[in-house]
Amino acid sequence: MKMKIKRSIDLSIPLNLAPYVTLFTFFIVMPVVLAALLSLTYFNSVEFPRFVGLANYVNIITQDSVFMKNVLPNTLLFSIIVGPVGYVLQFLLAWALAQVPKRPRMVLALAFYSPSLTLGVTMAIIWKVVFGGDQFGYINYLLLSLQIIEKPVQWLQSPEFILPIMIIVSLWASMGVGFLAMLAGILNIDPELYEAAYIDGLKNRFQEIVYVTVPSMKPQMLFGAVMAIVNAFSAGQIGIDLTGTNPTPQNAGQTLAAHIEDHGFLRYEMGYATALSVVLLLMILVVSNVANRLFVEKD
Amino acid sequence: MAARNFRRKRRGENAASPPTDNPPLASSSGSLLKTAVCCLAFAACAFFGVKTAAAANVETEPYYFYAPNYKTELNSLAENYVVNPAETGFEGTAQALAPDTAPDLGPTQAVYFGPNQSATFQVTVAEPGGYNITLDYYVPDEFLFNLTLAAAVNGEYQFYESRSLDMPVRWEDISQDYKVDAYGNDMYPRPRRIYTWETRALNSQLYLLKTPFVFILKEGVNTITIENNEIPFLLGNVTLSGKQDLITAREYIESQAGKSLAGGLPVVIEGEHYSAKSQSFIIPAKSSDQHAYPYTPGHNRINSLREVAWADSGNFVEYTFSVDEDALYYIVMKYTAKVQKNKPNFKNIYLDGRPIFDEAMNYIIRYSPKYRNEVINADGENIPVYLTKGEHTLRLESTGDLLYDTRETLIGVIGEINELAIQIKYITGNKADKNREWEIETYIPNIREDLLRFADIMETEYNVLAALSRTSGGNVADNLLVARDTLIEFSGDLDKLVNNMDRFTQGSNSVTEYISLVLPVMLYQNMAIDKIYITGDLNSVPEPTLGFFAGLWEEVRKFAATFTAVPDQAGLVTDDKLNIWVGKNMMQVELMRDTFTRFTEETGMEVNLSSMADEQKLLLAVSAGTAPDMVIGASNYRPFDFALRGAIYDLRRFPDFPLILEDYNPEMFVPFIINDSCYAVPETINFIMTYYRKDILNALGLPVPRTWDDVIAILPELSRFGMSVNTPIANAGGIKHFGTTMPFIQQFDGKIYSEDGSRVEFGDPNTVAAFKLMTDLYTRYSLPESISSFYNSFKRGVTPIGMSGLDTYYLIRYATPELSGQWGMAPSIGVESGGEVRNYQAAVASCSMIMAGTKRPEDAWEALKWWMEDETQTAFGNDLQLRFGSDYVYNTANMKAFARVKSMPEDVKALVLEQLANTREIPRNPAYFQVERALANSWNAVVFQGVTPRTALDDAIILSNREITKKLKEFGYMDERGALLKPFEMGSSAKVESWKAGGGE
Repeated sequence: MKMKIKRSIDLSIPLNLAPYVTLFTFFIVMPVVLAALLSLTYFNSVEFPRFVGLANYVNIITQDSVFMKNVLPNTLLFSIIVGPVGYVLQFLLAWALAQVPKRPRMVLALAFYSPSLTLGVTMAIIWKVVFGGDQFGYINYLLLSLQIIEKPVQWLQSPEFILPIMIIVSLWASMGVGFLAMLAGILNIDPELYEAAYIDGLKNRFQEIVYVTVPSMKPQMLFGAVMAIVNAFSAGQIGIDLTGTNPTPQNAGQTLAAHIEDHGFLRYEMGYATALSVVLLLMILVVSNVANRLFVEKD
Repeated sequence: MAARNFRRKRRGENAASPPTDNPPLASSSGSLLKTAVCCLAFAACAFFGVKTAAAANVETEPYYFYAPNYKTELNSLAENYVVNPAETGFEGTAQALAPDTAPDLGPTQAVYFGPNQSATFQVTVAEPGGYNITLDYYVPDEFLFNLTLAAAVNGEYQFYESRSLDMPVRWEDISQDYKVDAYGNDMYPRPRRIYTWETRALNSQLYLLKTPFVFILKEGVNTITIENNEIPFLLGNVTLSGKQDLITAREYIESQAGKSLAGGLPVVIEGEHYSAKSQSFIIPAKSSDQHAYPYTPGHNRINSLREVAWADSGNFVEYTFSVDEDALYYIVMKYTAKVQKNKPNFKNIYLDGRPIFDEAMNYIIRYSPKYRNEVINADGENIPVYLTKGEHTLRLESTGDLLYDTRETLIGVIGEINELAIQIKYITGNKADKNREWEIETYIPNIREDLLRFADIMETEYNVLAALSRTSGGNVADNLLVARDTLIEFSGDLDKLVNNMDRFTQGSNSVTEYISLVLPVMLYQNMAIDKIYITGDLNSVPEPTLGFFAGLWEEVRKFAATFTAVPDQAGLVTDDKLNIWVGKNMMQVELMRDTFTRFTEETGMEVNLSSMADEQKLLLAVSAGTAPDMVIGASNYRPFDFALRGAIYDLRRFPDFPLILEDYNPEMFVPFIINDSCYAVPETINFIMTYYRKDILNALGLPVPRTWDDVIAILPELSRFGMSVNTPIANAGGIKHFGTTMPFIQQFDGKIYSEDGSRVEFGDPNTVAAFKLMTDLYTRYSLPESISSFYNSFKRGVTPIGMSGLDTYYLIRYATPELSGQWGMAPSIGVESGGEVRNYQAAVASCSMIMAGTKRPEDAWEALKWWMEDETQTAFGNDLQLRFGSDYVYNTANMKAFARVKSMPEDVKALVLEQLANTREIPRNPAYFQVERALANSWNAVVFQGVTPRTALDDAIILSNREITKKLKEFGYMDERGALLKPFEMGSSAKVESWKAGGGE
């Protein structure tokens, strides 16, 4: 007896995946692999790369004083504040907005979301005028007229003010896609859960958040967390836009992303810059692993 | 025009108002009081118009607005007086031409005026009074600028403007068959002079008054003197005329009663096909606009007369057309005027050389963001014109006549407000205690009335402007109402005025600022014309814009075309042509393509020029191997970095390299030198000069500083009034690049790098002294560390002195009419040493280089040499201004060509050339960026964190040396252990000089 088993290769799965896989390979995997390869070379953007082994990494740790003194602390400080704090702010704001009726909520959500769209030069122009260094900058003018200061303060040139200003501006602009996702998550929670929880003995709204809201929206929280982390670590442009220069005066606002751009494009040290970017990648991987542990649903 | 009853104190009537009593001093010894009063009186007099010896070259005539001429009525003459000085005789340096030698005049004689020559001749008139003077003149050569001359009557200039009267000539396009470039876009036409005799009444070049300048003659014999400025010309007849009455539209209609409208199709004239224009740079506009004609989606076609090109008063365009029958025709203009919202524009309309009727003068062209059809009308009634069969000429001319009164009044008010502000500051000092009550009326008794009078003027002028614009809705004139409200508020509460002086003058929301926002707008009569229809039947004129759907469809077509059309950008690298990337904007690139056709004719080499928007692209192209053959107009720091890494060609390998050095200041090659090689040629320059406000410095009695010590000496007086001095460091923002910090070190003769290039020598005592001065200025002497816009601060009087670059020069010259005559330039501030002032500054802005990967280095070298030649550079600079206007300046580094370009007046150019002779460039080292940053960070540390200068410099030395070592190892000048293998020689002008002589390897 012969059994003819007709085997048809099911092409639908590979075909479905093909666009995603192609784009992912070309725009995510390949650049990472190339960066890793380039980080083992000396490449000055003009001549062909020359293999030097781990010399770049050794230099990062031993030779680069700017990295150790300014970049690493700035990046960590900036990311810890803008990352988790910004994240908490996003959640609180999303939760507060969820309590507001529909029409005002739409308007307010738009108002909070739009700063994150205007990143870059547009935002820098506005903030440069607010923090302007002559007596016509808004804050200087306000403080001078209230006679709190006597001479205009150079917000964007004095090293002690640059990083705090970067943090403030980034927090202001941090209500991004994560914020919208969390808002959607909160709005989607089944109200019956709250009723059931109140029956079970929940006493106040704070407990409501901790026991009902957060567990119900773990996926959105994870998404928000990853977005916040990546944005916080890769933010460097804001410092450059505000002060108008890379590196920022006395490297006060220098973060890892800005440092990479400096070495890669301004100093023609592409090999070293790619090594730095690999370091950045590892840092982000570690932190997002932590976020994963916190938020992934355990079935 | 009601006579205004206030005094203009800058020029004219000597207002001998007694200086106000200064406030009683706490310790008033008699002599102290007397000297104080004297000083105050002196300063007040200096400001209030009494000429002192300190103010040299001050004109004594009033402006026309304040002169009696303006109010003088013209006599009514039965017949005009016509005088030909060549025939009736004259005295002076001009020469009479023999009969039959003047072009087109036949036996009639003419007078030839060379530059700065003059002629004085007599006229006899029966009645004394006001006359217009009209000249017939002929300009025999093609010049960039218009003829200007001065006219004096009976030995004196009757008003200030008569010293410089503009006499335009006519130009035409060589061909209105527009050539198409490689990308399918139309190219701008080239202009050419029309050589004919012109007739023009002496009139204001800012406003083109409807009644030309009135000169007052006495009964009997008068002498008239005509003095020429720069451009030679011929003078024919001089006509003295009186009142001209134009017929009104009503009378015109009545005179044409009984004639019929024309039939047939409309005569269509394209707006861009003018037959003559008054300036060479009146050009058409090109775009891909579906509402205009001609139109091709995806390509830029020349389709209309450029809106802003003829916006200044006195500019005109002429159109020639012919009609088939003697009949009445409507004249319809399809136009758009969108520069300023709700601003009216005024044009005079002439037919066959004469105004059609009274309402055709100062004809209002309303604001219109979209194309609309305007039929010539009066009071809403369309008025057809009678035309005989044959050819006719229509002329449209920009005029600012209706705005003359308002604008001059407003300028006067600004002057008065500034004076009042200085008076107040004399009394209150600079930092007013906000809580103090000032009895300001005791010291300035009329202040309340003055403020209310100013507010009244604001309201009156606003009403005038509102009536002119005839639209409701927002308008720039609304600023006057804001000014009025502020003034009324201040008049009610004088203490508020004293405590908020920056809302009165100097601030960005001050009364003077609001007023001055309105001023430039008023002079601008912009109008873009797509078509003009001459037709008897208004229904035959098509709609000005496509309908909604048709327009939308065209947008879709244009969008689709963006995918197929080749963009005009860098990236097009072809093998058969020489590829040149240019770091300039599109208009300059288009002109360069035109210029390079001469190169192709001479050498047979085809050239492909493209605009390079972003220099980063160049770096990427080099890595990718798609670099061009050469680059023109690159930033001045690129060649060094590229050369270190072997990306560009050593120009010294060409045997005739020394020849190119002839026309340049040898210092300018310094940034491009590594050891014995030179990698680029400077192309354009920047200059840093001192700009100062003559009116403010005169009022305060301060000299223009030449050295830093002078600056420190005048600082106390300046800061008494809340003013200060601008420095390039303050303008620089975050990073204080080399151009702002190095000049200090060079002026002190300090050392920067060691001879072998292996370390920095900041420890040199001169360098330390320079650094100390650089930081003391901001710590000890409190110069402002950040001035975001020197131009704004200068305009408002906050920084009446400052050093800045050439952008500021052009900004002040073209964008602040209210300051004209009130500012000057001086050499940049330096350091005194051994009797002379060392004021070195860097100058090179952009450069040209040949890429190493080129397959045709000799050809590229030929092109580079040809481009940087004196002839080519001069022609390009002049052509740019000729084609596009006097604000398109090209500051070539070729010193010979720079001396010949016409972009600035001769006296300014002399100052600039003197400054450029003092150029000192900064030598480059592989770690120069680190040195620059270290120096800037050290400055930052001293100024903001109070670190001692020597300590900060030490930090800079350590960081720089470390980086230099790293870089020298990288490029093979040092071995692994840091021992120097070969010295890194940096550029110096001495080296360049030795190359010139043919020495060196």
